[in-house]
Amino acid sequence: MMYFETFESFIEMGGHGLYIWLCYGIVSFSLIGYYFISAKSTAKAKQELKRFYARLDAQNQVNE
Amino acid sequence: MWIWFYQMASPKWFYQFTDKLLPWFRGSTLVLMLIGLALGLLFSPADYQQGNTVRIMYIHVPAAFLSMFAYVVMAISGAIGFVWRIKMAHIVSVSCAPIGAIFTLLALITGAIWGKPTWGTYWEWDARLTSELILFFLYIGFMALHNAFDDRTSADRASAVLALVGLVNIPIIHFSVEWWNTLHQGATISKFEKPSMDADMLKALLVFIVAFQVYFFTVLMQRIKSEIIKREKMTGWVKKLVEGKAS
Repeated sequence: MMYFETFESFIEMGGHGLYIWLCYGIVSFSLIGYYFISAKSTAKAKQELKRFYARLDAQNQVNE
Repeated sequence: MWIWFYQMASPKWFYQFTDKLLPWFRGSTLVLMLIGLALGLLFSPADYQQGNTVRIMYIHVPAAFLSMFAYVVMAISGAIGFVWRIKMAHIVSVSCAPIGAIFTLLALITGAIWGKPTWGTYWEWDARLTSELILFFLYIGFMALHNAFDDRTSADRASAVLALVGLVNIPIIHFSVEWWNTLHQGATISKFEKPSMDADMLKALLVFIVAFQVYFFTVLMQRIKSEIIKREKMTGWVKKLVEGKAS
């Protein structure tokens, strides 16, 4: 059964809404943010490596 | 059994393995988090003493639990890497640090916000809060130490030792509420006793703990993947992987 009867009481949370929503907000923001940072880190590493291999190949050609 | 163990130690095998697992972990994180939110915010009662602020517990306790869990994973894999010189173990250890630091910070912040309406103060230098803050500094120290070395092998070995030394802090955090007279309340769930809380509250808390744990493994695998290709850049399979996607 749903605990809150009206939407207003859900937002207010018996006067403690600010504390509760702040906590849930900070945690959601951080976890979602870090999810995308960590997901993108592999793509970023691949980009860096692509440049690294290009430099390495160019160097090898000069040496030959 | 041993073949599996050797495979786990191979970065290439591990990379492909996490690639296969990740979609499942991402999906279950999302589903569990949504169920947790519904249970925690809508389908659980308010506490008779704390009122609705008890809902902060559903994310504060999992964050604090994961802050310690991530540290134990970091220290144990660091030790395995140190003793048996397994590359993959160090990769896991190093990848744990930033995730654990985030969970520690979140536990401290949500704890502080929760403290204001229930204790009347954001911060108190009591045993539980102080030892959790030390845990945060241990994570920061681990990352700083690892970055301080030019040579990766020395960095791995030195930070593994730091992680192991800091492991002593974990039981201190856990038992701080029993050893000292603190403001912080005792454990809510215990393996040995019946939980001292309402069944609906317990459900919300347990779902969130599992959700945070699955989230931890999801982002850990994502970090491990990038760490593997950075370290294995001189191998043929990484070169093929990186350049194969371009064409």
